[in-house]
Amino acid sequence: MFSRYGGLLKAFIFFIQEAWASLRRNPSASLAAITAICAVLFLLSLLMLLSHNILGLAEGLRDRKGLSVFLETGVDQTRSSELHRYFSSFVEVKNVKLVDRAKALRDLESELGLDDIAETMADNPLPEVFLIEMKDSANDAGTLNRLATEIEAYDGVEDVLYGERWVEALDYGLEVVTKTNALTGLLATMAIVLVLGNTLRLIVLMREEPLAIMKMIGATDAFIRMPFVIAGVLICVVAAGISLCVLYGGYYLVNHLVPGMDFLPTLSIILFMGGVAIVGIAGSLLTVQISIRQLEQRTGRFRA
Amino acid sequence: MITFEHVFKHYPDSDDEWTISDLNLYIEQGEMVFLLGDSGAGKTTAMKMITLEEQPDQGRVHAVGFSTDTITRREVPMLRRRCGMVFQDFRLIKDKTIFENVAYCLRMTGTLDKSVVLRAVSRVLHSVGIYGKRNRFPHQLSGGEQQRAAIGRALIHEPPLLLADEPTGNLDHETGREIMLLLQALHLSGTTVIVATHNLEFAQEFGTRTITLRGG
Repeated sequence: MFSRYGGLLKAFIFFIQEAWASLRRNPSASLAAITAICAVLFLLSLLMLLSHNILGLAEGLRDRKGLSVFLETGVDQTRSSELHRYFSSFVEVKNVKLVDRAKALRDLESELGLDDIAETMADNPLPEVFLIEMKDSANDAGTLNRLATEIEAYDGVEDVLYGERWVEALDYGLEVVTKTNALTGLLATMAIVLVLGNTLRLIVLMREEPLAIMKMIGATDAFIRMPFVIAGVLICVVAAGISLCVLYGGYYLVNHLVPGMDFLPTLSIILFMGGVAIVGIAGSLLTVQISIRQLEQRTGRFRA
Repeated sequence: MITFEHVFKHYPDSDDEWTISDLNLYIEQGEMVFLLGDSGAGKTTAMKMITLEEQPDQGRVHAVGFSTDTITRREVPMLRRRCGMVFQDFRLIKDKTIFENVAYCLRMTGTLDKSVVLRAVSRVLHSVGIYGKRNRFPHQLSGGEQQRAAIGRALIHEPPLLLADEPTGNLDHETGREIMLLLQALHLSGTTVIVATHNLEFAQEFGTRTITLRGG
């Protein structure tokens, strides 16, 4: 078993060496590709960083979302308990908290900085309020709106309030961020495949003579293509590494200006590098396959 | 070992109706055969059909256990490894040393162990008399030395068949003779050798049989 893995490792090292040699033979094309892909990936990673922080902020805001259910004056303790039970039974609801009239008044006094409202007014004018906290999965504007309408229909409920507009705006904003990320990721993938494709095509064309010799002496298609594919992946991974370093450098410089700003979490970095590597493998395979086929058809030299 | 059965070949760009017309040929194992003929007679085309660089338009070619009408694309590399090939222009990879040129053939078959590669390549370079120049690049060698290196590369898999297409075409007479002696030594060790050449003198001196192609 060890010798099998040892053989695979040796083959991998051999292909890496061949790939590195092919990049060194075309330093200007390789550097141009790394720079171009690096620029694309920097923009993508910058967007990821901004999205990560915006989403973090939004999650914090989302936690504050919920419903405030104001009861009619005169609702007795029994009805209040029933309503508590009803509201708690909704699958979308995480927690229901009753703020009684006395507590509501104390909170108001505290917020306004006054301590004599109760004395000034003959009676406590504030109703009892249920503060309903939603589950994370149900914290969107649509669910809040539906639930508010439903609760308003209960006997004893005076009014239901929630920050309808800003909840909708927040949801819309998050949707825009998500769609922008997806679109940018797609554009970045296309740009990488395009840049990588042109670079590898150039490298393949410059290796026309050796490729013909390799075919002639019995090299398999896979053996011929593998170094080019690995060269493509190396270009992508190096470009991704540099773009993340530049991003971290920028983050380090502005971090003290924007308190609370986080860098990308480790999982995002791993997914970013993995995604770039996968795009590199797919793009390189496709390009090398097409380039060698085109060379075969144009020259008729390395017919199978 | 090699059979051509009613083989026809036409190139679309060619003025000739057929480059090769109804070629029938049988070459036994262990022969050293010279293919003679003028330019355009079809010598190189016949060699290319053995290694499947070209397909016959009609008929079929059997060589080293493979047939042009049944071989798959995957099997072509296997066929080519069983046919050592030597060319007039040597066709060495320019940016690899002589050692690396020969070693590459071994590595592409999965032989990546350094000590195994070193032993095999050294042995073959010794046998063609070029071991001392193993670390040089092709352009640093004379034509004769490059041809020796190319023969070394062709021999690394110990093929039963060696095809040499005008192997002395770029060499002076004396160097060409040395290369022919080397090919003869291989033939005497049991390898089937087919040489395509214009040189009638070499054919008569070294060949066990000569076959002349005329006008396809």
